[in-house]
Amino acid sequence: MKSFLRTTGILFRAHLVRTVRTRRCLVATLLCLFPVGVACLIALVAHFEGPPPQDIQVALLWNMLVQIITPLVALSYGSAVIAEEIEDRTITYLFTRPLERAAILLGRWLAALVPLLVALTVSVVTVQTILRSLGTEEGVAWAPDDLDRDLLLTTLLGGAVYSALFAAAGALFKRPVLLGLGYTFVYELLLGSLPGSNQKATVQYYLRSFLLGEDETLQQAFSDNMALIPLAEPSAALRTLILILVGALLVGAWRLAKREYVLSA
Amino acid sequence: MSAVIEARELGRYYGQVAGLNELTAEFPSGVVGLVGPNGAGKSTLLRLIVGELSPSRGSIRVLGQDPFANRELYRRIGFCPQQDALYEDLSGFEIVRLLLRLGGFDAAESKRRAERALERLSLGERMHHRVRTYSKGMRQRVRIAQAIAHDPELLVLDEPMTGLDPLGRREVLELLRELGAEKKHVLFSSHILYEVEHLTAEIVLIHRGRLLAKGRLGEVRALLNRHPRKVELVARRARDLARELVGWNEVLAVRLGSQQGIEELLSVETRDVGAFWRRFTALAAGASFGVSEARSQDASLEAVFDYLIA
Repeated sequence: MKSFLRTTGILFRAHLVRTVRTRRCLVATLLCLFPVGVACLIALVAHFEGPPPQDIQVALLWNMLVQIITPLVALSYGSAVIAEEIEDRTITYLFTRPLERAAILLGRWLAALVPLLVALTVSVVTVQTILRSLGTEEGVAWAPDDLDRDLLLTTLLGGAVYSALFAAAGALFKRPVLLGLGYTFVYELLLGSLPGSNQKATVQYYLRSFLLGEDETLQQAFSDNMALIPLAEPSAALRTLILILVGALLVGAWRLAKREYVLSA
Repeated sequence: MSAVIEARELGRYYGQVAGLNELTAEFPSGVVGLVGPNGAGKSTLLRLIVGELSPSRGSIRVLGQDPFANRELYRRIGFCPQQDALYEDLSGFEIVRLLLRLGGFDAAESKRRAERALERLSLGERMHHRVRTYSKGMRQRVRIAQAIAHDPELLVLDEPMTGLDPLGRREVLELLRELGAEKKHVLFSSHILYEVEHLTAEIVLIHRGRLLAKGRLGEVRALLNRHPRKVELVARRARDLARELVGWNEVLAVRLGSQQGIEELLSVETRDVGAFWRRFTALAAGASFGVSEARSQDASLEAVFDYLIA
């Protein structure tokens, strides 16, 4: 265990700086800046037209940031955790070292998680600040103040869970990015939006449950933007999300321990 | 002493393609050259030896252990892969030090060993520059440095001279010779016999995924020279040609084959294909047997024989 943690730490430190230098970090940053740009546009329009309706704020914070941007940013970082070593053909060096292969996944995933969470935090906080300054068409704040904190937590949790899923996909499959895009747009968005208990098979459902819980006022505020089914308790949703995260990493680590990669010269 | 590496009916398939086919061989200690033309299966065999691939069939033992994902064994093995892949945004020193740290060495020892290995490969001055600024030869030296830095018992190198200039080749040959003198086991692959000859007389020759010959280079050459080989000729006056060839010392047997229009196929078995072709060329130029085609039954195998016997 000590050696596993030591290896994880070495890989985390080595790849943290490397991750920030990559092109995918730039892509992720641009993705995170997109909602900020939209918020600025809304602020510009609000300057002439008055405060925006509540729906627009929910759409920006939930539908865009949590449902689309978070999985995409997580995909950008998460899919590279193992796939980058394979594509660059450097995995040979790690696979011929006396280390537990699971540490490769964990160390590199943690190194990807840091810039991912920083980027999402900056994006969410900036968008929230802009929207709070505008108020709403209805003349009241679009949601209680503590929702800002909860929404940030939900986004970060979503980022962590999605990145773990995509990291595992990188260990399991050859084209994790394509798979991740399909998963994000077809499975999560489509299945998570259709009415019915099928929503419970998505990460989105548990993120939504974690954020909204049993607060009917909040559910009402979000109900126009999504087909809500009865939500899980926030604590149960949190447990499920953690279970998905840990499960994904375990499956990825198990696959990595047994897998061989045929690299061309 | 028991063999360093033992392969028993070792096979590795990539879908329908056989990368290695029922190879049985024991690799002795010391410096051994793995020889064969491109595509012979050398890299597949080396990847099986370092446990990066697992056998599709048969078994392999390295230093008495099953190598696939064997962490304990990796402390005793150094591997220099053929692919020109490195962490581009790191320096040569950072790469070697990182891999030493992952090998279990502490920070100070990793630094010391990384510097020593890179200096041994004449990269002392540039070791702190990013590898993306390195020449091909310098990158190859980094790959070799990471393989030797932890002082392994068995060093496995896949085409280690690739990309090196003549001076670099000489330095690496010298390094491998030194490692051999230090009683390390060194197994390296090459498709250039000249390189192998300069380093060791002990060779393993593979072709199309199969073991072709093994032993001292001189013995292998003699063995291959004695190996009967077949050539095919197509001629209008095939029967007259057969009568002529039967009298040659180099020819072991002549068989008349099928009729092909006005021509006939002639299958010739020779004990010395070089001498046969030389004499046959002179014959074909002087006499009119109507030879329209002359071919070896296995052109790529011929190439292997030729370059070993040359």
